[in-house]
Amino acid sequence: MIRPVSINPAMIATSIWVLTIFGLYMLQFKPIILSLLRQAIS
Amino acid sequence: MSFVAPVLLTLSSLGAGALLLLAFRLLNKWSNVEKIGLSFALGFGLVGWLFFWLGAVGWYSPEAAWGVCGLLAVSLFPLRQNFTLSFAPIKFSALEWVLLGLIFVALAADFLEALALPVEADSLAYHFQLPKQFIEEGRLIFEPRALDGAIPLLMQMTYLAVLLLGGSEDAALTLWTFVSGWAPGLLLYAFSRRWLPRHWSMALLLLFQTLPAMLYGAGSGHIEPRLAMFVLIVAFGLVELKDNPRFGPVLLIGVGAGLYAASKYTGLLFIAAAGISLLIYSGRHWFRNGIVCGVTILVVGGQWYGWNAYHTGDPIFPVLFSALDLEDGTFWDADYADTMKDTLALRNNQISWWVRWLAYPIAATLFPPFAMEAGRVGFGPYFLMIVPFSVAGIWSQRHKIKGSLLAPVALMIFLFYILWLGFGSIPKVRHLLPILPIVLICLAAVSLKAIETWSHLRIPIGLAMALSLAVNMGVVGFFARPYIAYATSGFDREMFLKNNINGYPAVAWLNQQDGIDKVLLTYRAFRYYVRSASYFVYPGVQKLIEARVGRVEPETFWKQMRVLGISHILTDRPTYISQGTASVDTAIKDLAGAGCLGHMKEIQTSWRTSRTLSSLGSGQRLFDVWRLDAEACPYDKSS
Repeated sequence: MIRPVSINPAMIATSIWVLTIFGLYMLQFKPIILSLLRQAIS
Repeated sequence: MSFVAPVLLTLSSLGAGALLLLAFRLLNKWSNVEKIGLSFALGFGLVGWLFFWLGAVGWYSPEAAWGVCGLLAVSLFPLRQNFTLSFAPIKFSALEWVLLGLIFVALAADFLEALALPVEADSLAYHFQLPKQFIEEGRLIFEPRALDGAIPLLMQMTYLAVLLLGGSEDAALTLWTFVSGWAPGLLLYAFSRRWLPRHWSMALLLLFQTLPAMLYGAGSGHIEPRLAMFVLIVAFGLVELKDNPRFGPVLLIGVGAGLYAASKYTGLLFIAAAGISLLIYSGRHWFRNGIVCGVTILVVGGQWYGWNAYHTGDPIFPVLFSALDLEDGTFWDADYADTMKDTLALRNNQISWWVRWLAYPIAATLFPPFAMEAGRVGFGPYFLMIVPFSVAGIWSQRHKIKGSLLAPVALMIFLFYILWLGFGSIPKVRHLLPILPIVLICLAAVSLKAIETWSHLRIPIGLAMALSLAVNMGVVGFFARPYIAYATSGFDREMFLKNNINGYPAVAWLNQQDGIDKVLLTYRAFRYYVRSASYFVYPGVQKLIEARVGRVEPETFWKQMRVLGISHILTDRPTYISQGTASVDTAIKDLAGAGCLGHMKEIQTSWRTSRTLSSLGSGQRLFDVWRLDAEACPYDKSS
C-alpha cells in the first residue's frame, strides 16, 4: 500500500539540496557522458 | 588449486581470528555476524603477521604455508560451537530483496574480476609483484625503493600466503582479493547493525562496496579497502571499552591499530588517533590501558619498522634519514634525502591550503583536482548529500552525543582526518577509504535520529541513498565490462592482457626470448608479467641506479646496471620517467652510440588513458628492447 506523503518545506528544501549535489557531482562527468552518448549514437 | 588456496586461507583467517577473540575473552560476547567479520579481519592480519616472520627466517615454501594455514584452519573446528549458525528462513521486506539483488549483482561483477588476470598498475608494480619476488627468493628480501618497496607490507604477506598455497597461480591471488575485498563490507554491516535497522545496514554495505574507489581498489589488491577492517576492529574495541573493564577491548584496539601500522605508514597517524581516543575514554585507567595498548601495537605492528631499521637505520625509510642524522649508505644518502624532501613537498602542495583544510570533502566530491585522484575513482556524492540530515540529527541529539557509544569512534576518525590532512603528504582521496565505513555509520546513525524527530526527512534521505546507489551501480556496469568481455571471449588470456595493460605486447615479446637474466624496466606495471628478474628504475626513490634528470652519466649508468646484473633493458621511447638533459633517456642513446647496447626490437603498442572508459583517450607508444653488450662497451673495460 502506498502511504500518502505530506509535503513539508524542510522536505522540499533538503530534496533540492540532494538533487543539486547530485547534479553538481554529475557535472564533472559531462565529457565522459557526452562521449559515451556519441559512441552509442554512432 | 586456485580455488582451494583462497578457501583454505579464508578458513585460516577465521580460525586465527577466533583464537585471538578467545584469548581476549571476547568470542562469546557478540552476534554471529560480528564474530565472523571480526574473526576474519583479525585472522587476516595475523596471517600477514606470521608470514613476515616465516620470510624473515627464510621459510617461504608451499609446505610451510600449508602447515601454518592448515593448523590455523583446523583451530576453527574446536571453536565452531561459538558460531551458532541458524538456517531458519529470514523474512526480508521488498526493499531488502531489492538491496540483496543489487548486492548480488555487485558481488557477481567483482567475482568476474576475480576470474580474470591482475591488470591494475599499482598491483602489478608492487602489491602482487613483491610477494612473487619474495617467493622466488624463498625468503623476505629488503626492497630498497622508497614509497612502494621498503614499506610496511602486511597485506602483501597474505597475497604471498595465497600464492604459496595456490602454486603461484594468478587465480588464487585474484580470488583472495575478491574475498578480502568484501570482508570490510561484512564488518561494516555487522558494526552498523548496533545502531541501524537491517535495510539501512544493507544499503550502507552496498554503497560502500560499490563506491568507485572500492571498485577500483578492492578487487585489484589495493591496501586501503582492506585497512577498513582494521579500523573497524579498533571501533569494536572502543565501543566495548565502556562496559568491559577487562583488557579484551584494549587488546583489540592495540591489534587493530598495530595491523594498520604494519600495512601502511599512515598507520602511525592512525595509532595516534586511536591512542588519543583510547586515553580520553579510559577514564582513570588511562595509564594502564595506554601501556597495554602500546605494547600490543609494538608487537603487532613493529616488525616492518624494525626490518627497515635493520637494513637502513631508518624505521620509516627514507623519511627519517635527515632527522636521525644517518650516514650515507648503499641505499640512501643526504642528496637523495633532499630529493625526496622536495618530491614530498611538491606532492603535498598539489592542493592549496584552503582546499586542504576548509573544503577537502567538497572539492573531492564536486571539483577534484587531479592530485586527489577522486572523480572516476572517488567516493560518490552521498557524503555531501547527507550532510544536512546529519547536522539535523546531531542537533536533535546534542545533549546525548557526548555519552554515545559511537563518540570515541567518531573522535578517532576525526583526529585521523586532521592528522592525515596535516601529515598525510599525498592528498589522494582513497587514502581516506579505511575510515569511510565509520563515517558512513556515524552519518547514517545521526540521520536516523533526524528522521525520528522530523519524519518528513525520510524521503530526501532515501532519495540521497537511491541516487548514490544508482550512480554506483552504473559504475559497476562500466567496471565489469572488460571482465564480461574476458569471460565471453572464452578466457583468452593474452588478448585480455593486451587489451588491459598498456604496452603488454612488449612484455609478451620479451618473455619469448632466451638468455635474459635481468631486465631494467622503466614502466612499473611490466614487473609482474616479465618472467625474468627485473629492476624498476624510478628516479629519486632508489639509489642503486641514478635516474634523476640532470644527473645521469652514461658511464655510471652502465656500471650501476652491471653491478645489478642487468642483461637487458625494456623501455618506452622517449623514456617517460626520465627524459631531458642527462637523463635515462639520453644515457640509453649514448650507450647505444658507444656500442654498449644492442637494439633487439622496436615494438609499437596502443596506449589507453583508462581501462574502463576507452573514450577517455588512446594513442600509440614505442618500446625498445636493448641487450647489454659488455664486450663492445668501452665503459666496461675502463672498470
